[in-house]
Amino acid sequence: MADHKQRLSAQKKRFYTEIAPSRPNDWEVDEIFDSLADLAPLKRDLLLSQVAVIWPVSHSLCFSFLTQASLFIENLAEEELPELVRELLSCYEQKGLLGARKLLAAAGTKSPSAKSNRVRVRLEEVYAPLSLYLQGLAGRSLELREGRQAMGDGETVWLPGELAVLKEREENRLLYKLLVSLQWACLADGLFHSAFASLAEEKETVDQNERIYGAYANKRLAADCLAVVQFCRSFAILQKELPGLASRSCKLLGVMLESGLAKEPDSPVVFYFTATLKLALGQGVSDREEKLIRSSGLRSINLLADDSLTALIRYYPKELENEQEYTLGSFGMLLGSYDFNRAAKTFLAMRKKKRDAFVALLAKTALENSDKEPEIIKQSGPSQIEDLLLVLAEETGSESRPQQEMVLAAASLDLPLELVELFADITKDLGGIPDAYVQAAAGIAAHGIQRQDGGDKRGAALSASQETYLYHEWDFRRQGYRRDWCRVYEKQLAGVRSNFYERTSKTYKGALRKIARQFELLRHRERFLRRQRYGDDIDFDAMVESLGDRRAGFSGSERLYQRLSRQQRDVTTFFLVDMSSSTEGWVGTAIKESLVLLTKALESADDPYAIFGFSGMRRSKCEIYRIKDLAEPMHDGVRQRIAAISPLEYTRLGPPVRHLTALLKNVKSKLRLLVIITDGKPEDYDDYKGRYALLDTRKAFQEALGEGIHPYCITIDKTGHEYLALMCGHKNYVHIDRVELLPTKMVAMYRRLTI
Amino acid sequence: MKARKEPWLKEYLVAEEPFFLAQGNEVDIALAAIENRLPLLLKGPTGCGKTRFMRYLAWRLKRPLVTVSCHDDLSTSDLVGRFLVKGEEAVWQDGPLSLAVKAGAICYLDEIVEARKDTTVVIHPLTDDRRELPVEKLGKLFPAAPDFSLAVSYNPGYQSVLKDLKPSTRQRFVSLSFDYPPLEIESEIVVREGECDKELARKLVRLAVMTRGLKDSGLAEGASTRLLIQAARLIKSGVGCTDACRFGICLSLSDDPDLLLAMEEMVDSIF
Repeated sequence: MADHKQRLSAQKKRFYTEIAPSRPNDWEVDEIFDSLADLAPLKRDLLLSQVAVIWPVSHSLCFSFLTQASLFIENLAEEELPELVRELLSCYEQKGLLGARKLLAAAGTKSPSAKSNRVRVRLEEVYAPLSLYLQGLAGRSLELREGRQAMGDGETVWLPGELAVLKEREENRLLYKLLVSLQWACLADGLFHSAFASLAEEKETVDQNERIYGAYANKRLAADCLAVVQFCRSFAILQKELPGLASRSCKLLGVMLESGLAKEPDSPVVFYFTATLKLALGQGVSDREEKLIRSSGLRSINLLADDSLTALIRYYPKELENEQEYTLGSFGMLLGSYDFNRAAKTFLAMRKKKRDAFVALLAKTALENSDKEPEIIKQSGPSQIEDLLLVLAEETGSESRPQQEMVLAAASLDLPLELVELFADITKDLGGIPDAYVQAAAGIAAHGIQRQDGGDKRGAALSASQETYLYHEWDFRRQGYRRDWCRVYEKQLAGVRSNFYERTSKTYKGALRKIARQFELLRHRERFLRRQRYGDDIDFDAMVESLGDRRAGFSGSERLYQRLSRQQRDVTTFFLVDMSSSTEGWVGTAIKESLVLLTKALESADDPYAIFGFSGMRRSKCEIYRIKDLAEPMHDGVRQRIAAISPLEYTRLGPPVRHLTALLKNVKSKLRLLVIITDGKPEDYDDYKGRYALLDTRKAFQEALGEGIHPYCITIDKTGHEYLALMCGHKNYVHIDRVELLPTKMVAMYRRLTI
Repeated sequence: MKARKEPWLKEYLVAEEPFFLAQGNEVDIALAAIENRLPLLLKGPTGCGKTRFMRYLAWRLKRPLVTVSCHDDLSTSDLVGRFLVKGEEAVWQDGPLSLAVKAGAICYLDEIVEARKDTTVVIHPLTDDRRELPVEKLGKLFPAAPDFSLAVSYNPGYQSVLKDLKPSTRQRFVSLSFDYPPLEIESEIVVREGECDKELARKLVRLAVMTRGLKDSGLAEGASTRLLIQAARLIKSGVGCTDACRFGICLSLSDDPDLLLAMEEMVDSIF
């Protein structure tokens, strides 16, 4: 007994150590340990090993985890606990404390789960290949998300968060693939298109589920019938397009069908559905089922003709209308469900998006392809657009592909592929291009001319707008990502009128002259390589020498040519400047001065570069400021923006590194550099600090390296720099402790990195 | 027709009719352009049949086809010619472009955007009404023989600031845009070239279409018709369908583990 108490007290001590420097109320901790007292000490140790993972995310969650632990810990194998904690944290981040507590409660009610965990497949595990697979199937980007059951709306496909329906893990993986393929097949079959083809925008408020099922007395039965009809149609598409998957799934579907039937052997609805599905899958039917098939004339109902909604009218069994109580078992999960309200919204949003894109592109193309005087276009805008539409109709309407573009000098119409595709899409959807689209494009085209006349004001409006992006964040404690955790806002930094740039140029006049000379040499290293075996021209010195040698009786050299060697630089660099409040004072000034010197150096070397600043507060507000875009030449605006760099908030480094990696990976250069200039450890207002922040930044660096981008960190930190190797990797950083050396050192560093 | 008697030209004549399945009126347009002595620009993704189309045209016209695969180290001398030292003499050696110009052959510059822009301007005088090739080192102008035609190709998929045609080059050509053929035609090509049955060809094309859908997800280009033919030939030699697709298609497209896994899922779904 004394031993037990001693051990409990040691574990309590361990708990306090894990959560230090936090100090919760003693009575709360006592309460937790009271609830854990009956567990075996080893189990308690196991639970305490997860405190360090959960506590930093939420103290309340950690308390809930420990107080409810006795409910589930007995059912879990040691290796399964980290998995549960990962799931718990994801759930907490998405659904809050209440959702997480529910998950804990559900974990407690599960039967000994070691086996189910072995066969269980989580969506997270298969997410990456499955979402790519879906994109390949659909030929366009469709979002894959976790939902209660399989469902789609034309833009997003929802799948259950985990599957443990079948006995083998591989079977459950296959089930995921089948579910996603069925959702694609449903889109390919055009369910939503047939449901909403005649939908006008003003009818968006109408309840679409009511519109579809309103004519049926038993709406639930109608919805389930539609799911069965759509399944049969979708599976027929799979049999044709993905025969491998269809044949491999047949056995699995048979098992699920039987299990559903076993639960409800006497339900006529389940029986009706089972018989239908067995027929569709080509599986043997029992005598009883055969009897039903004959009596209901199931074989004569063609579910594959017309569209699903028309087939539903034929399939809906009026004689079963009064059946309310039935469950479809695991097969219900496979059939999924259709939310026509959500799908209608998406359908209309997609239609609007296509219309806007088409109108803008049509107007732009009309303007670009016009060789008329602006005044004439203004007057003949619509006819200009109509001419374009005729060309488009010819291109998309003709059976011959490729599209021949008789590009004869300036008379050519180089139509963007995107426009041709949009034209085909809209024509397919609406049966033609509505007049309103043509008028809108003509209006924009005419406005475009006016804008060209009166100066481009839209650029300024655009630059003021901000765009947002979501990025994952690495949590080392759970060895997994927090999905879509950080919101990055990209903004344009407003410039300030100041003579900072000129003043700095004057201060560093001598250094700048040297820098310009050094970097000009880098521009194109063209030189003649002499005495080559092969080359463009004869090297006369070598030839004279060779002839002389031969006359003198020696064998002449064969290296008689010269050629021009051009080692072209192909370096693109993004600079990411820390704009956190800690850069206030000398550090900030030194960073700005370095940027002045760097821009001068890079202009001399003719290297393309972009400059961004970053700051922010909390994960919901990571801000990136555009100071100079890649394609933007150096001008007064950029100089004013450099002068405007000023200390703002915190240093959450992971998200900006991920954002710039995403931008830089689309740049085609042999060497892509991401240079980060900062003044210390990454840190944010929330828990983004210490090891968490360092390891998230390290992960972001690794992701950049994985994309073929070289991240490099320049740090001015007087307090020490031992963390830099961990954060950036051994060769990817430099530490400068004397601020005044930063401007010249940074330029030298850049040169060394890119030679 | 003096040019045709050049002995070296025989090697460049396409003796047998290459298999080419027209997708539209590209052959008619190309023949009309050549008849009018207009240069051709073929654009399209890797392995969609641009080079095969040129071979077919050369066969139809019974003209030699001189192909130059462009690369970033290609110099003007590599196209026009250079002096070589033979014994104690410097002897001029024509490059492939000069040879084609003089002999009235078709000169096909494959993947022209790979060559440096200053190299490709040498073709400008050949592509307008002058039809002549100035050879700076000789101080001469080679007028193009009546049958000479020029064709260039590039892959817009690689388009970037660095790899694009200059407008001054681009606006000299009759352009034919190639794409992967429609499913039926592509299947027919795979049947014919890969010597396989129609069902297998259709499955391979279906796989290719799916991989092409991954273009925005990190895959530079989806499977080309050429890769499908390659896989079909592996299958013909007894390699299993899944392995043939894995080794003949998927692994040639990407090194990314997620993309490879997704493509293998596609293979498994189809076969």
